[in-house]
Amino acid sequence: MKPELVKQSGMINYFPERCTGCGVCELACALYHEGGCNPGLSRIHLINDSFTGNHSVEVCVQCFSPGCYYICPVNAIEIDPETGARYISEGKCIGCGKCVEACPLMPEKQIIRFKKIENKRLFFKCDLCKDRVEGPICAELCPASALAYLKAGERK
Amino acid sequence: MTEHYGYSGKILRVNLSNDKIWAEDTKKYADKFIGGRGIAAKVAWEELKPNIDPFSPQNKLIFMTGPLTGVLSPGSGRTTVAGTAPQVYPKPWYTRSNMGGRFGSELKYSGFDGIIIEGESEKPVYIWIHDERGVELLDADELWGLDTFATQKELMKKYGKETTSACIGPAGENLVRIAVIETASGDVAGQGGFGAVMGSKKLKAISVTSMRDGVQKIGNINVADPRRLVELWRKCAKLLQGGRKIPEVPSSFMGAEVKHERKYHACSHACPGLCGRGRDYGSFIWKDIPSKRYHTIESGQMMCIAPNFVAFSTEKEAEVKIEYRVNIPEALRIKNLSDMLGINQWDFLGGLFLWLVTCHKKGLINKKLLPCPVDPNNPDFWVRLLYMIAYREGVGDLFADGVLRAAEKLGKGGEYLPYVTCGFAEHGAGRGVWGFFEYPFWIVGALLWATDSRDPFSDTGHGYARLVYGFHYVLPLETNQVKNIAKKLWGSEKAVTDDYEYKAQPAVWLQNRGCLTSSLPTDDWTFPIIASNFTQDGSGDTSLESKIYSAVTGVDYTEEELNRVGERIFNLERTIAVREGRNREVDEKVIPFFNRPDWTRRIRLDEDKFKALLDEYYKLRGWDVKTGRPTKSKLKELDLKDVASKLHG
Repeated sequence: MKPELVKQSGMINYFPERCTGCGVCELACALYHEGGCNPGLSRIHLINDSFTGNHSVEVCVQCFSPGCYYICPVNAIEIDPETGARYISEGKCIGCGKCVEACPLMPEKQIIRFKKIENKRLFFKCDLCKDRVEGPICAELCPASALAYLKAGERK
Repeated sequence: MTEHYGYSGKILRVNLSNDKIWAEDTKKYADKFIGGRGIAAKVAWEELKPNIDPFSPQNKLIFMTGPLTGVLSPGSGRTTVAGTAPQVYPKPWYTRSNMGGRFGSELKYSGFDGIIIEGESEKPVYIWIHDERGVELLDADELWGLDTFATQKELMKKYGKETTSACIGPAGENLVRIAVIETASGDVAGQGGFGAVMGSKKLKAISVTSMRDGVQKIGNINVADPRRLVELWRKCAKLLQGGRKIPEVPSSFMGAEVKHERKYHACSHACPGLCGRGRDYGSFIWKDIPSKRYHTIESGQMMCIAPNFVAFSTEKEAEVKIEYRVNIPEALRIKNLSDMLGINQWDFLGGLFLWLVTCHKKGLINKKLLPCPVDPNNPDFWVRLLYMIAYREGVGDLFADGVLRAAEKLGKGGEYLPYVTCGFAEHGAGRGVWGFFEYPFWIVGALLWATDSRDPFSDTGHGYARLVYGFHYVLPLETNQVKNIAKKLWGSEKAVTDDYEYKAQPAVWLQNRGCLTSSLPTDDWTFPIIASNFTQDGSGDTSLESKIYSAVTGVDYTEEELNRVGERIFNLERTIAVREGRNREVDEKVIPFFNRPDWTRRIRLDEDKFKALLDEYYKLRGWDVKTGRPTKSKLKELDLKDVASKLHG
């Protein structure tokens, strides 16, 4: 049972033609969320192809009807009232991985990943930096403006 | 060093002679020498015997990152490579090189701050690292012989697309003294010939697959003050390019309109710069360009000196006129080929190639020497030459040992060698490819060249070029702005005016900062941020490295304190050089090159004034004026007591 209608969400928009493949998005994301730098702890995932320059970014599109939200057996995926971000509440996640199965973009794209704490899996995904006054850090720091934050109302 | 902030904590050790693999704590070195070039120097001082054969198992190959590698710090993805360098002429000595890309970052994410390789393998091997517990020495029979792109792609096929490798091509395998270590499509540790050292150890590649899922403590590079680091990032981006920008790719390249697709490319992990601000040498990646001649579709980075594969024209005043132009698709093919074979483009373009064409024009080249006509407008000539060097075919065997050794053997062309000293081609010396360095700026260049162990312009001299010319991300400043900045940094505006006065001060400062640039590491096209087009007075902020270092490691250092560490590293390197026989006499070997007239005003070095300037430099350094040795008191002052007692007894 989900008591309320799912609110629409903002999202991170990517412009591949501007992307220089620098990886600042991943570093900033991990730094903000985990206090350290490692692409494996980033909610946004850059695939740097330095042979062709065809870089790409994989990040949650914050589905209108998020499968991960519906499938989670412990209601660990919550909707942020401000941004609409579908985020994983770290204290509630039991590490079952059902959200990964429900994600329409996975496994082809790395949208939801996990870290290991004392051998327990804790899943994480893009939360649009919901508590950050300046908005998503990846979009703010991307030096080439290849990432932009679209608010819920601006999405088409 | 505070609990692991900024570091992975371990340095990997591999002995290829007995397949032994072990690790040691980075902490042992990090407090006094930070990382990269600093730690490499400490290891070399303790473990590398002087005057060894670079291709012997005694030589060690040191890959070293620093606390800023792989964190949110501009251009942080850099790795120092060091050891006894076969490119050095006449007698190989210890020096360092440096590469960008993501290799260093990924290495740290896998749990290692560096790798030190010793011994040599009997058969081709490669190292695969996938986390702290997974380091494997594997058979490289199937990789041996492959070019650097194919090697990397093969390893990606095997271990996943996020595998990053540093490897050698045929040039390294064949012990070409200008062979590079390559990662990605154009990030190389070029100077020194370390690719050949890798080849002599039969080590084809070092491959890293860092974890993307299930990351625990391993490889999470902890940052002491994340909020502060983000603030500093914003400040850097503001000074470098005025903040966030939408990239605009210029429509012309090397003086001609281009129809081919290209975009800006960060050649070093976490680089914020839309590099070169639209200049030809900026970091561009060219996309899917068909080469009709070679039936290939080419993509790849073309930056730094590589645009000279497309076109080049000597200054009007040059004694020998050289001018050529190659179509972009063909030039990109040639450039990629030199990367794939693993040949040092700086030495090839700025040294060997220019010398060969000059000798040809002067009638010094026997027609039988080369199997094809010397014609730089013809792409086939370039391709032929590159293959000949990489596989040591015909006269390529001579060139593969470096032009200086080749000229010596051929017994001609010595007067046209565009080499400043110790086996490194012209760079910032006012008399070669990059002959733009005018009087009096090349006086500082001459001091840097005199007292370094390699071409000093990559990690040391670029800051000065940015200030006096407007270079990399800086567009030219007004003269009074340049003078004011020089006065603030080096005590007098004479540091940038027509004179031999105040030239030792910038040289010392640049060298100390250069040591920091490759130890922290930062990127030398960016740091020190000496000038900016986005401040009123044109000044940058030279304290940023110390602030970033403090935010990452939690160890508070002021700019002066950090400069002191740079000075310590430079003095340790000098002591290594002294142990190898370096003295004032060797330093003065730069004089003949600078005695040639420069290209802009035909000015020659004033030998007496330069020798007096060297006196001043040694005194500023606290070195003995006669011998050029660091004094006992200087080394002690820099907390290098053990080094002092070994040098002075």
